[in-house]
Amino acid sequence: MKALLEIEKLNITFEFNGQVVNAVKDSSFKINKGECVAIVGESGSGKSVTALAIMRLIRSNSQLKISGSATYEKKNLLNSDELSLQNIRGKKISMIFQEPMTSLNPLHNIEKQITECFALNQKSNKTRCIELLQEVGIENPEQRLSHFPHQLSGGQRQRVMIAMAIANNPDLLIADEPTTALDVTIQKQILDLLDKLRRKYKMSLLLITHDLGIVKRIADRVCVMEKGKIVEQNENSKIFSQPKHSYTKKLINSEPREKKIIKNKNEIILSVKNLSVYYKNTSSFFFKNNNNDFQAVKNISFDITKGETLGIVGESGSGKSSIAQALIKLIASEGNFFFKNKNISNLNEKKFRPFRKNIQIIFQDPFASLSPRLTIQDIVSEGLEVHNKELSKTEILKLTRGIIKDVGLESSMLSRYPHEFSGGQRQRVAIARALILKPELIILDEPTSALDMTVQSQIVDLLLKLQEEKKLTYIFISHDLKIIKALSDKIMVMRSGKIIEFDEKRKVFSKPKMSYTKKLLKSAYL
Amino acid sequence: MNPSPLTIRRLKNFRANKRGFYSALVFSLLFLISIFAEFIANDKPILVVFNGQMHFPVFEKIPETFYGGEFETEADYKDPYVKNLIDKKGFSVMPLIEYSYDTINYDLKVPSPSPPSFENFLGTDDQGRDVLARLIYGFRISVFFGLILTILSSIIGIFAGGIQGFYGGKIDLFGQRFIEIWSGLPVLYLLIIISSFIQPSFWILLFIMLLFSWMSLEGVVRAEFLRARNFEYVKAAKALGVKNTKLMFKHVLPNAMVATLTLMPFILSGSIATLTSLDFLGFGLPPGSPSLGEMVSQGKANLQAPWLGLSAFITLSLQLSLLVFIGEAVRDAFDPRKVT
Repeated sequence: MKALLEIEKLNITFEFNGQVVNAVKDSSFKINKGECVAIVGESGSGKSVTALAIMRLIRSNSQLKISGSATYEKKNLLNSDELSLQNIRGKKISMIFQEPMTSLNPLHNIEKQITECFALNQKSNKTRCIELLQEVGIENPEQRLSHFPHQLSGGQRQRVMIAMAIANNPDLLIADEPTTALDVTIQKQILDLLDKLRRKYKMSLLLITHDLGIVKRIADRVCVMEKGKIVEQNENSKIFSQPKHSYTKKLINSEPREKKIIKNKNEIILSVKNLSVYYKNTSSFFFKNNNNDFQAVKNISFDITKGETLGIVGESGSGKSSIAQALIKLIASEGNFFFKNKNISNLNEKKFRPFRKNIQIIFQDPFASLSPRLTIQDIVSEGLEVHNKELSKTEILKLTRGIIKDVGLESSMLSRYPHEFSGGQRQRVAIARALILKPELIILDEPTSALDMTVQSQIVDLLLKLQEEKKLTYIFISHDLKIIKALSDKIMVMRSGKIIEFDEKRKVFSKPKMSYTKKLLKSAYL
Repeated sequence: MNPSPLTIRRLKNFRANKRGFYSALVFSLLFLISIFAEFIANDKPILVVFNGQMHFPVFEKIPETFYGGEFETEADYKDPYVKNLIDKKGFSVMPLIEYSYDTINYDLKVPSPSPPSFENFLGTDDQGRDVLARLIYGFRISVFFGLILTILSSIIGIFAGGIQGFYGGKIDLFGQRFIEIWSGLPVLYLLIIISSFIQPSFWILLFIMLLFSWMSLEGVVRAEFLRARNFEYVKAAKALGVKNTKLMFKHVLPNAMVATLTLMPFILSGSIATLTSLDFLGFGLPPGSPSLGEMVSQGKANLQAPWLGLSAFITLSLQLSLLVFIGEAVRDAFDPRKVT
């Protein structure tokens, strides 16, 4: 088969604050006509930079050096001039970005944005726009033309981006993590759409992703990237059946181990009765208008017994995080919840403070949840200063050292600052901060979704180990069914603030009752 | 205490802005000189050795009778009679400039304002006072005024902005409305009216200016607090049970400090300019005190003596430009795009 795009010995180096970073090292791969090539790797492995270099959206300057060649139609894209690039970009090679929220201009309507892609001489734009929107599966395309990006959902925006990308029937479509920012059910739809369009128009597709489930489904060939190097490339089936490189094996085997089911239905640790969360939408200061209030959580009741894990699944906006924040009283809520039969929902901040020791939370983004100006020692020991004021400095140091070892870090790391750590290590620090108070219940609000696959499974392993050792109870919130499956005993499926399904894990996975749960399971590529 | 890597990188960035870095050096040098103004421009000697004993007239009042004179008031060291008395039994070391800001040179050969000479390097003003001495003292008083005003208004601004931003809701709403009304008051008219009742001293002037200048910082600090109170690490600390006051100081305030420190040099130069303009109009510091604004107005009144206006102008513009350059360097140092 003839190669459509051939990349040889691509090298990209950044210079930043006097440090030289080899983002891409000696990468060579080719994309044949009509083929779907996937580049897989963890964040920071140089996937996106490669794509940007092909499109020449980054160029060599004093701090950035690109060398090697990307041959398309006998021309090296990396040193062709701006004019010939203009004839290639958007016409022969087009690109879809990760974040549909920011890749559309909020000030122009859909028609204007799609029309922008057409060649100037092309007439009858409107009909073509409608055709394209139909092609990418947008309902009522005639009406949508005059809409602005904020009137569309994330999935619809990504569809519009795809419509713009295929407007000129390109030979190659580069999709840079096209589904990462979307919910699971929509992820599947978008991927199916890309696959369909690729076959229909005989396009080549360069898919950049970190999700192996996606790769397994639609890619023909896979390149595995690690730290800027392509360590292995092969046919899709061979990569998964006979991985050669150790890193590929690590990626494929990074599925987390599953929790052993513990049968001790004795003590109910937390019981929630009719919990509701409202987000006030006050339009006027003087006239109260409660009709505008948005009810994020609607009358939810559930119990958790000691030592078990409750997994809460749902799409974004389904009220998962609102439950978490309401339970530790970071946001106001209605209804009652009882911690060990004590009603804690109506306590004020001062009376609730002793309970904070027992209920801790771990947030999603380890980069945002650690104060950049404090050392790890200060961060981890902060809770002790609140709840165990009688402790001396040496005792605090001893406790933090112990806990930092428990989460798999070195005690020499205590004097460092968060920015010196990787995402996984930061999340370990966040876990240590929660654990130092010896809580009984930990609420985990998507603790792994900002992390890479291999790190995700390490964190899950750590959480399971800690749960066994310290007899913790978890409320685990995630949209990732794979991790929920590994960790949970019971699963609660949520949609627009309501519990759709709530049962033992086994029953939910084997015999889902509701159609929505079925859809979720189907789109999770388990 | 070892500085965090962030601080080190910020210092590095500050130094990378050469203009700002050298401005900071020059300004600190000038400020240092002006702090020791009494030892540089004074009508009293730095050191008197009399009868084998050392005396420092800058610090102590020594009556003329001590040297064998007739008056019991403090000795006038510019008087040839006193000079003779001292030289008989010892010697005295005069500062570089033998005039203080309020010393009147009675021995002028020409009517005041006299042009620059070896006696008065930058000439004298229309009351026969040495211009250079007045500039040095004037520089000091304006920098001090600016610094004190900036620090106090920053403290009030951060406090008010912090409370509004952190608690939000009704506190914020009423606070904002109050500030809108308060900032509508005409500061200059108020100062003119007050100064017709009382003779404004340094501290009264400072107090009145402070009433209005804190609002310049309040806005940014409030915005930073509003933003930072929803940061995950602030929420995490709250979930740990950390009290609000500690939350504000330990977790939220450092975020607001960046905006504050960036604005500070500009507030400083702004308050110096305000003091100068008040002095120029005659509503500022009490008459006789060394002030750059008063010098500018003298220059305006005596166009035939250009050394007055020119020296005041050069001092002022140098001072304000240095501060603005330093401000730019500070802004660079705290730029989140350069320091992450």
